[in-house]
Amino acid sequence: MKDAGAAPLDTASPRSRSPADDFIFVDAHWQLRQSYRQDILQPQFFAALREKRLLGVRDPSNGRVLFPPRSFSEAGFCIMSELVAVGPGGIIRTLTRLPGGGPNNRPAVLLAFVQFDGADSAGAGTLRGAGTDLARPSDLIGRRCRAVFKDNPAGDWHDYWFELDGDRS
Amino acid sequence: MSTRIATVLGVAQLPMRTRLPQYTYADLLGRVAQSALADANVDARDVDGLILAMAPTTTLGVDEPHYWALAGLPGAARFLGRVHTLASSGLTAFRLACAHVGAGRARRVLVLAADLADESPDLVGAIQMFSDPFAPPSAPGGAASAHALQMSAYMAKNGLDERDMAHVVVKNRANGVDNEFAQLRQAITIEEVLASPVLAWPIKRLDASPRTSGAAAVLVGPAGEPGVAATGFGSFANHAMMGARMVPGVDESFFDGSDLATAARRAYRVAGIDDPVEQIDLAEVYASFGILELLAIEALGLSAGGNAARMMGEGHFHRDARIPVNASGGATCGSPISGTGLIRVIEATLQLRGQAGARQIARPPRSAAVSAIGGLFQLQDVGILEA
Repeated sequence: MKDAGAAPLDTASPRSRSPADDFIFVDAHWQLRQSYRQDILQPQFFAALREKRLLGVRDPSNGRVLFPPRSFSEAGFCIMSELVAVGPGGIIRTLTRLPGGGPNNRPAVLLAFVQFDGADSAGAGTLRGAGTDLARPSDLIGRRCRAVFKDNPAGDWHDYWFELDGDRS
Repeated sequence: MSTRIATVLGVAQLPMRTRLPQYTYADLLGRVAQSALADANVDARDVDGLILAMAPTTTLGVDEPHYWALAGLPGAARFLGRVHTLASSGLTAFRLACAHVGAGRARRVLVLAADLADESPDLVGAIQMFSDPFAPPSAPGGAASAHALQMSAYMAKNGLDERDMAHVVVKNRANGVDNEFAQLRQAITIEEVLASPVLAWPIKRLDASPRTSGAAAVLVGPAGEPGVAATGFGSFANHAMMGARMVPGVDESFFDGSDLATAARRAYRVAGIDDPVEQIDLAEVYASFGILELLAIEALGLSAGGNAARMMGEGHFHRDARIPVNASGGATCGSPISGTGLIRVIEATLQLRGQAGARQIARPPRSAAVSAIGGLFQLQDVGILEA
């Protein structure tokens, strides 16, 4: 989100001159306040996370269960309201390894999209316990995994992650 | 000859660069418009429509800068449109201009695009602001990680390694050496690609297109006028949710390019093409990462599913091959987001005219397929051009 506060556009900064090409620029930066409305199904979704449950929503136009839920179907042009329990097991459909480092020296992570059992779409999350030094992370595609919840879920996306099961789908 | 929808009367592009500090956005639009009209030998007073192809403007020096240029641009006072479908904006705008002219609503419509990549370093941050803040924080908001997920699945499905995938950008960068408009004009090796920093495995820095400043223009006229003809278009839009397009047996379009294939079938049907391998002589496809070019080749029916990388390693799709793909070097040699789809049209037009200079393909082409993709593989556009 953009930073909240202050004036919408700060053009009070002094003019800067680029030494390389002698062109004059005016420096500016945005500070806009914004509010974004939550989908009406999401409070139930996040409440379920606090109970260590995962919910998708059924699209009445085609029967697909989408995870995470949202209230309007792009595919079916219809309202969706039937929440359906999915997971916690699932299949890794794809993944990537995001390198660590950066100004905050963040650790490398495996980002996976997992199709939970009972769902017809894949959801994103981090895959833990598989090591981040794999030569070919794509070898894990097709492996079964499960959502693992932390001890005291807060009702947000940080409540769970993925861990590999022992068997291959 | 297929039925003509409209004619490309004139084209122009500015050399793509990291920085174009000598121009404002308004300057870029005006200058490239002048050049396209000169190429067409058409007076500005004879242009009766203008469509702007635009990408996010939050990273430009001022937001929505086209308002500082509109009134003086050819056609703006008579029919004005604006298209924003991200990196497909240029091709989408060209398609709409051809439809407008083809329907007899205007005689000459100008399509314009401009980008200034040097006005803010915060493109990634701006793109991440598209993301739903209630989506998982681990969901990719940037193009590199999203297309890494796509490339990873493609490699696993087709038994390919990183070396196989690197052939695309190596071929394109070699082509770019001969393109005087390209931003990156240095050939690279597979070893250099593999040794470049990983952005999101398996995508490396040299797999990716650079940030680019540039401008492009195409003047569209009626089907009866001489010039390269637009003979077919197709488009498609799918879920914003990437994960809804990753499901075997339901929708795997994020992995296999089947949405782009749908757009291609629609374009081919209009153009009367039923065997693209025999009937298409070249392709200019938007591919900001190598994986997108492989998926586009397969979606356009220029190879069977899953074998484009191996074919490219064998020399197919190179400039001297039967069907060259991105003989210009493509988007990995320069890709102003607003105009990159329009540049595909321009490059195909120059090839069909035989005016592509050092990058001209040897065999005189009669037909070309152009494609572009907007968003995270969400919006698809395909066009067919004929000499």
